[in-house]
Amino acid sequence: MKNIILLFYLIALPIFAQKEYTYNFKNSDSLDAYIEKYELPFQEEDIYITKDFENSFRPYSESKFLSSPIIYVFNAEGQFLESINNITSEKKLSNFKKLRKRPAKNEPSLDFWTSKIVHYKTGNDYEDPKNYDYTFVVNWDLIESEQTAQLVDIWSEWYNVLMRQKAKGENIQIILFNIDLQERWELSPYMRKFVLENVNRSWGG
Amino acid sequence: MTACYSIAAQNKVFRTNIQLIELEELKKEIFESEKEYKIAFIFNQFCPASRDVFPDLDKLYKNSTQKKFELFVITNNKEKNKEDLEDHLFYYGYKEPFYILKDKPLLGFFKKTIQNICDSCDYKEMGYSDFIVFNEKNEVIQQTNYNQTKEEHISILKKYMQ
Repeated sequence: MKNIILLFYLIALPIFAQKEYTYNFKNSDSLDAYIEKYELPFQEEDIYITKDFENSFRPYSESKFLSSPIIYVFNAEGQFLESINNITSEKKLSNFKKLRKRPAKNEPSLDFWTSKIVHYKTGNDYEDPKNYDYTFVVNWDLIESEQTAQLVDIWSEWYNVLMRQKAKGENIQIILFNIDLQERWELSPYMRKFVLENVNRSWGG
Repeated sequence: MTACYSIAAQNKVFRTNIQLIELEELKKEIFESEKEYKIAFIFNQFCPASRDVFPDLDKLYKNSTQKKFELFVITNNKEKNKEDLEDHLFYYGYKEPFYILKDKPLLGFFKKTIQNICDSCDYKEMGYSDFIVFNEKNEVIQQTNYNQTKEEHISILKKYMQ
């Protein structure tokens, strides 16, 4: 149990440090409601969540990849190229010639992501036999704070420009990765309480 | 509850609308336009004021039903930087007609451009994100200045971009 506590103190910061609200578990209805409320242009087929707590959320949280808003970019071989933030997004997403070409060293490949995510509604594993020139993993969450409007604009811009690239003929895949705590994990009442208490004590408002 | 919005618009191939033009030709295009209102908007891709006002202008442009106006967005981009502008417009999905001046002066873009299309306008009072509205007879009916707020600019544009 100490390990889990330590885990939360050490790794939850990148996800939650920017926010000031009470965290809770989310489900597909929460995601739909948020999308509708803020008119996010997201398509259902692109939305994924973490599969479970122990084997999915936890490895993410031990990595540096559980933050938002950010995009992780992978090449056709699934090698990690670079991350994109709201400063670099205009340059990189409007013109793929400006994406880094050489894979970053010692970074997890796309499999690290796709093996740990499921579709937010069906719960089906991520499976896509196609080969894409680039895969973009867009991290997002259901934040409710003073920053919400700004974040919603950023996610909308990112998704819209990637959809324009697709429409133009670019062979890309978009994964809208929701990084919230998920009801679907079906944690025991004890674990749910424990997770929420830790998250909210550390990073909530 | 519907989670996702129509993708129809997003599936259309998006094209930017950038034209390379000489200042005299641009002036001719503005003055020969038969629209009720002709709006010459001065734009700088890297100016926060331009970037700030443009999303609202874009909404007005896309939502206009009567199209009683013609919009001319005059940028200070150099011809060799056309791709930068294209990327910018592609990123934000701006379809408005943008004009890059082939004979853009090295210095005095504002003075030369504004004086050329509107000799009664005070170019010293104008900045990027300001605009001039001409009527059908090519008379100036509105000239904004840099002392006005973004909200004032949008409110003025609303009157003409219907």
